[in-house]
Amino acid sequence: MSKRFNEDLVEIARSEVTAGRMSRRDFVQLCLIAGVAPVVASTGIMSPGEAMAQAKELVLANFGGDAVKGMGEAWGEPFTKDTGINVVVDGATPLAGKIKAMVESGKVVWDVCDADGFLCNQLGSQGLLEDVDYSIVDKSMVRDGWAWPQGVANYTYSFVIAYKKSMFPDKPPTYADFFDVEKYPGKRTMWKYQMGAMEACLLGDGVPPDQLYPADIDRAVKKAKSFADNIIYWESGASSQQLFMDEEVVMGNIWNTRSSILERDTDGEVTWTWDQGLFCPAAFVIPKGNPAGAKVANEFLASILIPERQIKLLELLGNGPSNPKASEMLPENLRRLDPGYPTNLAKQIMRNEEWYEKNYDLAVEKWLDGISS
Amino acid sequence: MPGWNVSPAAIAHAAHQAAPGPHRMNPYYGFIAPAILLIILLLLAPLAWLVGLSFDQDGEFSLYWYREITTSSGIRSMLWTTLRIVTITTAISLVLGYLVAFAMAHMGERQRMLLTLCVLIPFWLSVLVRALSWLILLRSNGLINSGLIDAGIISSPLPLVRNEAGVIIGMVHFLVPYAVFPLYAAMRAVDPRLMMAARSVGASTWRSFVDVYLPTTFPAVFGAGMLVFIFGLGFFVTPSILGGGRVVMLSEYVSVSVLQTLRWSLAGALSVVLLLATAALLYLIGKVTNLRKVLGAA
Repeated sequence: MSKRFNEDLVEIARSEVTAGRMSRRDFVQLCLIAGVAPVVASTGIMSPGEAMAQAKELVLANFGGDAVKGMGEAWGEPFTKDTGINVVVDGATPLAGKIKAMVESGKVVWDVCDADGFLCNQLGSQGLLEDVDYSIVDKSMVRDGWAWPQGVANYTYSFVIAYKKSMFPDKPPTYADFFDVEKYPGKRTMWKYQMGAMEACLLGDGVPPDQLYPADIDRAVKKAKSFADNIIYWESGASSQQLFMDEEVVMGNIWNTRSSILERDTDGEVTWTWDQGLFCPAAFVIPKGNPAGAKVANEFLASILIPERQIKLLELLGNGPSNPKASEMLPENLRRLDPGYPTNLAKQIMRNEEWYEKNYDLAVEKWLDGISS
Repeated sequence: MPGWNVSPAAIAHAAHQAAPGPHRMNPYYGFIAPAILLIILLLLAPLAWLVGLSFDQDGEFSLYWYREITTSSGIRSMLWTTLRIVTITTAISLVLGYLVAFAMAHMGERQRMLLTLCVLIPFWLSVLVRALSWLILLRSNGLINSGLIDAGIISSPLPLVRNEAGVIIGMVHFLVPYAVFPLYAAMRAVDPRLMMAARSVGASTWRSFVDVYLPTTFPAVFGAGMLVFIFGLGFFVTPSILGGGRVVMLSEYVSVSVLQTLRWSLAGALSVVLLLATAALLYLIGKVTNLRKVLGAA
């Protein structure tokens, strides 16, 4: 408490100096009294806190849309309250290629980037990421295996079957039903970029859930091609939702976040099942040489694992907590929405991060080649 | 005052002095030096880097990525799709553009204004808005299909969008103005007396159009076609939205290689191939027509 007060005092004094109402000598003296080392740079005077966290700002890059506001509210605001460091959420889609370009050109503007679990090792092994400091981030706050050397799981999501409830009054559909247009006419939708869609094809083709990985990409592509005229591929989460709203599709392999919004917006006409869902961990990574410094970024990573903040994100966006303790603490009404809630998780299949780490590029490439030719 | 009465001979002499000699550097080149420098820095240097990247395989010089382009069936079919769609699009855009430009060049001032607006307003709309509008019109429960079904003309919706047909419709809509304007400019420049002369020696309207008008405007057709074709090669948003995920064209493939699969060298090699193809195209057209004229130089 007193440390924060002192820092604030120095902060005020600093602006006094800048405004010319206080001499530099008095400033240095005041810093000594307050017990903080003054940093007098040629361009101005920086307090030590500032010297460490340069702009007193942390830029969090995510994939835009509601997540800008949601992560700002659930994770940014409390962090600012704790540390005084402002969190700016930039919905600029931090795809792997952009992170690589930024780090390699030495012009890093993001401090923390939203990514997928398998990307932590994939990008990390290319030397593009800062290490996660596990003396700051508490490993026990995420599931085993989700604390990677260069990244930590921030939330979970799932690719689930969303469907029109009137088509399946008694039971939820399986992927066998998904690929059966004779029995259940209408178009389906899957993600254009392979993930989730590949697993759906394999399950629909009769691969047992526990034998999904290592995945037979060619078999999945073949299945997708044979079903081509019945599929509309979705490109963004928003378009997956739109396809249902416009009644262009009757079933889809989409993100659980979108399916819960759909259920709300259609008064339950469109709903989803956790059966055969593909459960995935997302992760935060720190691009090498991030402007706010690795320490601040690590402090931020530690802060988002706090159960209350994880629950807040689930409430706002439908992203599940990566901290299992947060799942345990969920109130009744949120349990159904959390992909990682034990009863929901039991019905799903875990995405294999090791497989994706090695095969993601090849899989996307083969998939796109396959569905577009 | 001396100097007021300058003889024509003196003027000619002065002009001769000022004109650049064959061995003398024109001092005005100094004015364009900054522009040249900018082009070198911002265009040629990155381009050289891109070319370098395309020969890089794990840090070593290699033709791997070029071999990949010719041998990978996926990439080959993607290139073929791109070429096919752009060629069809260019052909349709030219026919439509010629018709619109012809109408614009030969109608009254008021109608011309109206028609120009009809071309310009969609031209000014964002490509995203246009693609999404087409989606709403063309999809299976869209205005066109539901209209046709309600009218009893068809029984099940036509596959108008989320396939190649949809991509071509969207691209033609975007590219027609690029064909219209050069064609219109060329048609306005056609001396109307040429047609009158043709008619006066007994040619029918059709004959004078085919033998006089069409050849006169032909360089502009080539120019417009080239513009549309080259522009079409780089299309991204339209195919991505109207193709329903099943039409992947060159620029999207490059984008995926750069952003997702991190195969920058492949993206570089594809870009080099695209650049060479464009240059070759320009060269061929230069052989056929007067390229300087096509590009608008006098």
